[in-house]
Amino acid sequence: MVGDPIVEVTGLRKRFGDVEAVRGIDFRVEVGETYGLLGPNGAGKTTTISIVAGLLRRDAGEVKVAGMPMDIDTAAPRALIGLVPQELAVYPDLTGRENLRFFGKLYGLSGASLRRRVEEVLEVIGLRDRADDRVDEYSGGMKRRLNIGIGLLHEPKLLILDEPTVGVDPQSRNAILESVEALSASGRGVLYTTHYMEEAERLCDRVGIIDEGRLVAEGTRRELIRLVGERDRVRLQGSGNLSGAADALGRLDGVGDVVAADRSLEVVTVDAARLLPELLAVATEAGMAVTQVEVSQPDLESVFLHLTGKALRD
Amino acid sequence: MRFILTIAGKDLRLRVRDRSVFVLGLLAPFLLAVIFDLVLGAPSEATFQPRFAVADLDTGPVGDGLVGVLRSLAEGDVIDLDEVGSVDEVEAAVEAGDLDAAFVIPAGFSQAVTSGGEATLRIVGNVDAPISVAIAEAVARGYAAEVEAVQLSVAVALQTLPSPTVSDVATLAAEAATMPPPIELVDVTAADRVLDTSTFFIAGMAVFFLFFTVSFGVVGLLEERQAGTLARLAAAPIPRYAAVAAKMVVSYVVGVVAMAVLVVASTLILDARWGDPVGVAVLVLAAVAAAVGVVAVVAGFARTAEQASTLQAIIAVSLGMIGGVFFPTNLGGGFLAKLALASPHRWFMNGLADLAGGGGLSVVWPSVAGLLAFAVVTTVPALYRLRTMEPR
Repeated sequence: MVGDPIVEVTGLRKRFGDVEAVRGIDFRVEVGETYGLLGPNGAGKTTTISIVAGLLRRDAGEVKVAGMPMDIDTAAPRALIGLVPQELAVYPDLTGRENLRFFGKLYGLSGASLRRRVEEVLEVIGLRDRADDRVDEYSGGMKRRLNIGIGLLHEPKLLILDEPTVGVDPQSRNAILESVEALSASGRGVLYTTHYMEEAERLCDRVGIIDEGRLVAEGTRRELIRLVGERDRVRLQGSGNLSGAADALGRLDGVGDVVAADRSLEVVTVDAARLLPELLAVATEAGMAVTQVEVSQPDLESVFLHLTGKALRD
Repeated sequence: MRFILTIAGKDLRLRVRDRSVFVLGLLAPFLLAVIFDLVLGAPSEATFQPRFAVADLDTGPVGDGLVGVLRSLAEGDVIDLDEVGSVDEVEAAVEAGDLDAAFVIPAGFSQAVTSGGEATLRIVGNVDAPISVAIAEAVARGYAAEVEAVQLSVAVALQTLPSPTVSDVATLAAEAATMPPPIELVDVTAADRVLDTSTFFIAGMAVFFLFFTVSFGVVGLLEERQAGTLARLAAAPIPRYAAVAAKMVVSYVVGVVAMAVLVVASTLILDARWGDPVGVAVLVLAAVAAAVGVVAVVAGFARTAEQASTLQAIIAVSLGMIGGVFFPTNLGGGFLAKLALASPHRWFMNGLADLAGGGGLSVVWPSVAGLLAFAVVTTVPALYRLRTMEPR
């Protein structure tokens, strides 16, 4: 995954009056990588991506997009970015097609290429049948999809999505997440902000945990979990030689504690998914008849709680 | 420029669909002008024609002179005139209310005047028509003053003759009567430079509502910021000034179109007389520039579209009142007249008044300069503020 960064942010700072919203943030997004900024409301996510997108002036630090410095007056790097703001940044009195055509023109598309891209995007966001209806007649989910579609028109190298699923019903949310997964798979860089732990876990190759304007930790999900010392737990339930199985499992590499309880064993391990087949084989070989397996893995919510002392949705 | 036109085109399309621009920019000023004209303009515009009669019992040259004056007023539709043969007839008609006033020229009136004797011109007035009676008295006094001037001229001339004859007196009197007055006052600063009521109200309402109409462009910048679309515009690879410039273009275009439609419609429907078309066009272009500047500076310093609309309404009404667009007022030359010049509305109305005096493009330059000064003073800080406006 590691290559040339599409975005490189160093020492970023931004103050609004007495409030320092961003307090020295560093991160980079590689080409083809989906990078998530995970944090509660007010953590500084939107301010950070607004500076990255060239919407806000920074007080300190540096932002580079594809190696080009980004500022509020620079036009060139903007052509590489597709921004999907948190608000429904569409014109309700225009039709879906008119919205797409208007923004397409601002990104330099015209003539046949504009028509082609508009049709392609309408197909991707599933609005071809409603393309000539006014947006104020769309459902909330359709508006969200159009909001994303506008960001895709010019086939950007970097897609910035600011909490795109806020206020969306579960069905539309799933459709949006699938779209983002598809975009991520198409090889472009994605910078995704959210305060939903599930979305960050599902979509992001790497996650930066942001709180009170600081990036408190960064890495893959597993790296973050390891960073705070959290382990996977596998609970094997069954009958037979449970103590023998406990001894055998305890001798395996990657297994920490093995705690025997009534008709079950709880195995603490660094990577349950990788070790699970071996755990089952060893327990069975030791004389335990395993009837039920329960795997619990620590999530980013618990990482966030560990790092900041508060829940994501406080 | 391409991006400015793209954004402006989108905004104009939205405004056309919105329809409120038609209501505020065209319908409201036109209807209000019609209402003002009907309610306030009717009394001053209605034909006020005093009903006079004259009984000429003299049939001499001086009496004929007065009858001639009255006939010329009647021909000009200033008065309604009956010529009757007896005093009784006149008095009966006035008593019955059929006449407002009557002139009775007694027998021997001309003789009395030419011989330097006492000559009396009698006016019979209707007590229920005091204004008409006052007018009749003014006409009679005016004629008497003229006769007195002739008498004086003749008397002065006679003193220069060693032994004047009756023929000399008659000749001198005839010449003096036909001489033009030595000084004639022609007032072009008041009567000629006043807009008629219909034109005044439609022009006043047009320029008053112009300050609301143009807000559809510039204030849209704040609306876009609230809606989030300004962030999208700011994120696009276009010059940062493009969105602001497009909004100002939209304001200007909407303002000019609204004014043009009102000028044409009021000319055709209300019979408004705006004056020289080129002068009006230049004046309108300058007035719209001033309006856009004022609204832009409000938008530049407001935080939300609602705040901008409220502020702008207060400013538009204040400037309209200071500028005297609601009622035809005589500001004289005092403090109010000076204060009125702080309003672009007044410069616009002054320019139209200059055109009403019969001038063309040459007479509106001072007003155009005043309006453009407003445009520059407001647009420069507005551009700075709006250009640096953060999109979220």
